[in-house]
Amino acid sequence: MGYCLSMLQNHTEAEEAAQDVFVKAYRSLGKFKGNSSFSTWLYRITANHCLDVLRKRNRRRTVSLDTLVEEEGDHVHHLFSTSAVAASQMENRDLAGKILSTLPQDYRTILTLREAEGLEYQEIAEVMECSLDAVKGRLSRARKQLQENLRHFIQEKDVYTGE
Amino acid sequence: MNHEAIQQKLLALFDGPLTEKERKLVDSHLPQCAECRRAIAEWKVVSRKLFPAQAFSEASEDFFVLKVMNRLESADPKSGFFSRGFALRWLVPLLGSAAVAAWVFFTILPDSTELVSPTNVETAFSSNFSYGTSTNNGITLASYSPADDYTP
Repeated sequence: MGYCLSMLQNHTEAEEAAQDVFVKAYRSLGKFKGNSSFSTWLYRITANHCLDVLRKRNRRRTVSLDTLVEEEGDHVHHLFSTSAVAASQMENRDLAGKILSTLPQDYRTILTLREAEGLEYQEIAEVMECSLDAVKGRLSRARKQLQENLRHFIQEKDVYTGE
Repeated sequence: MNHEAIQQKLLALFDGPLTEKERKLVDSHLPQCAECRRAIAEWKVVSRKLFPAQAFSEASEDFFVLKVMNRLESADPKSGFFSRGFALRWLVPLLGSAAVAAWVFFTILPDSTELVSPTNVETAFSSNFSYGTSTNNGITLASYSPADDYTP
């Protein structure tokens, strides 16, 4: 449920997706061969399902970085500002979702698996079905791109006082 | 290791896969490099804001489990009329029998009916009998007599 929420950043969609995942997993139990841990197998189903949901959602609306800057620039600045009045948790989550949707989907997946779920490199490699080196490279590029996207919104004072 | 190389490794500090040697290099580089220090501090803020820890109450977890269980029970493929069990026990044999019956009807039966088809009967009949017609008071009568070589 937590992973779905981090990926989809929408409580209703996340809850529905998490239910779908458990139903899918229950029906596919026979396909679980024990080559990886059960949680890794469940993460793989969840990651694929969330990507499907995101793909369907992105057909309706895609947020480019330019659109984000134009429409939500002030809000993004607020999100990272330590002096600004804190917005509601839901508003922040919605905004975080928009920021993450400026990234390619595999970057979003790998960042969520690492940052929100705290998975080790080896576990991420099993979930994403790629090599350990690919995980390291992709994670590094994903972080770099996210930081570059947000560079103009984060001021030096917010970085050091926010620690 | 130069600044660019260290920057590549920098954020991996949070994941812990650096070797002892790499960690020492990064640790010795950080006090002299403001850019790398900022990159690390910046990532901490980004990670905290975009990936906050999710906490779910016990009640909401129970409610979630209840919903999943309800969905599983209502959509359990074993309980449906056209379930897999039904298909294996009845539908597959039924369709198999129908296919065999259709094959027999269209492949074997046409060969056996050729022996008694109307054309064959007529040919056999005309070779053994001769036809004739006569007119009696405007009424045409048909008659036939055995052929010369016909022996009953």
